[in-house]
Amino acid sequence: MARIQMNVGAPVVSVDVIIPEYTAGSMQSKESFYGQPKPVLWLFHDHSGGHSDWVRYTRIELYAQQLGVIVVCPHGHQGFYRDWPAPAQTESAVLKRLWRQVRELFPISKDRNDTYLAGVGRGGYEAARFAFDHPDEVCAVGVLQSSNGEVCTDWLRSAEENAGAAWEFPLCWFGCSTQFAHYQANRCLYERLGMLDVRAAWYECKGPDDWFSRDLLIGRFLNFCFDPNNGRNI
Amino acid sequence: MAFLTLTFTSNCLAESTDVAIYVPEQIQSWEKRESPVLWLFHGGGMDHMAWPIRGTVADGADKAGIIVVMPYIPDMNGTDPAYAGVERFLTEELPELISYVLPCSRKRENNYIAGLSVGGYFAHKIALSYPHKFSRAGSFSSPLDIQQDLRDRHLGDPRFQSPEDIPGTQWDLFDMLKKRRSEKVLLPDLYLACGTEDHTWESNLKMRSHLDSLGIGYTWDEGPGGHDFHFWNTQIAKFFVWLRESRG
Repeated sequence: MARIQMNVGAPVVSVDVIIPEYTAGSMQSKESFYGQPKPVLWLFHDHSGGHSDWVRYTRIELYAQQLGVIVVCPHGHQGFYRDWPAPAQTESAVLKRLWRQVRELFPISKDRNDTYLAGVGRGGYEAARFAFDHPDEVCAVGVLQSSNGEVCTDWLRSAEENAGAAWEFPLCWFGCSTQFAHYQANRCLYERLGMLDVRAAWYECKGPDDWFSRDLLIGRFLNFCFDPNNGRNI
Repeated sequence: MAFLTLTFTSNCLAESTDVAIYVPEQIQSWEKRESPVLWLFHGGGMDHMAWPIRGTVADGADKAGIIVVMPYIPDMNGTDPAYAGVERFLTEELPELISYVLPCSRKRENNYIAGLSVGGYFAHKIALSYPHKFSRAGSFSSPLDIQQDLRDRHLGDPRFQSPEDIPGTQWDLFDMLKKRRSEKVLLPDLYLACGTEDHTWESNLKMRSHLDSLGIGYTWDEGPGGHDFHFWNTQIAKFFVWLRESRG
């Protein structure tokens, strides 16, 4: 796989992009592999984290290569991918400008059914908020070890207000470790989405909230999304 | 628009390698993949970050609308038994990967190659070896008479080839030009620049005479200056203008 570290735009956003490479023995020809745009997973970091967390602490490069998905990890700083007065206008920089630039520059499919989003902690919450605000852009969102129950539920409100709408919400995949402080709140949220007929899935693992469990959870989310039996293009 | 560092494992080099890339403001989308590319080489003892750190690439690249790819080249001297891998890396593996990852054109008319010092010599060597892949080639302060450079500065150094081994081989640009001329191969447009205080000045004058004697056209630029980024930054700016104007 190829890893790209990129600084783009003004204000500058730092991004890690992982792009799967052709490997001998692939089912596809090299020309076909290199000629087609790939599905994408946008991956957000936690509070106090950064864009390189996923590359440094998990096996995300191996997962991306195995499943043939491009992974984009932008730095949201302390702005959590939102436009606050301070410290940064990270929603404009990341979710508007970068979203468009990255999809123009790299071999990324613009199809909703090829666009996935996930995040850990506060990044998971913001990933879900963006996905529920833009159901036409994202087909599934992974909410990993997130403090949704504690902070706010404006994206859940969006789901409640739009229950029964003709369009479809992204599938919401919850990943939680059993010793995570907000385990119960996440479980409640998952059940509430079920009551609203929003497609949701739950996965839990034993242990505390650390990078070992986060690595496991993002791997499970990707396997769920790219398993032709349940996740891909559902 | 963006500065990138691409890291991947090269089969040709048999190691992980880094490539610095500058993507200008006005590039076409990946679907079209028609953006022109400049393959820009560092000099001896430098790496892929030489141009990004000490050079001024962005302004010229923005104005010309050219993506600039700056690879790390582990061996430009040909002494390593695995040298053939370096050339395949630069002419096959890297262009194939770059044109998949970024909206870069593979067409000859959109591919240019240049370098500073020995990187410029190497750029000409690659361009003349693969004239069907590159339409323009440039060198800034480069030891184009590599035999003379080896004799003057590297005699007895095991990291370099012996000057006696050069004539008539792929390393001999003078011989290669003569052969290409007799084969009536469509050559890239050539750009040669050197400072009058540079130790490669005589080497560049000799190449200029050689091109004249063969009737091969070229663009020449000279001025006061030595073997340093002050001169190379002036030249890379002029080179981008030359690319822009020669492309029309």
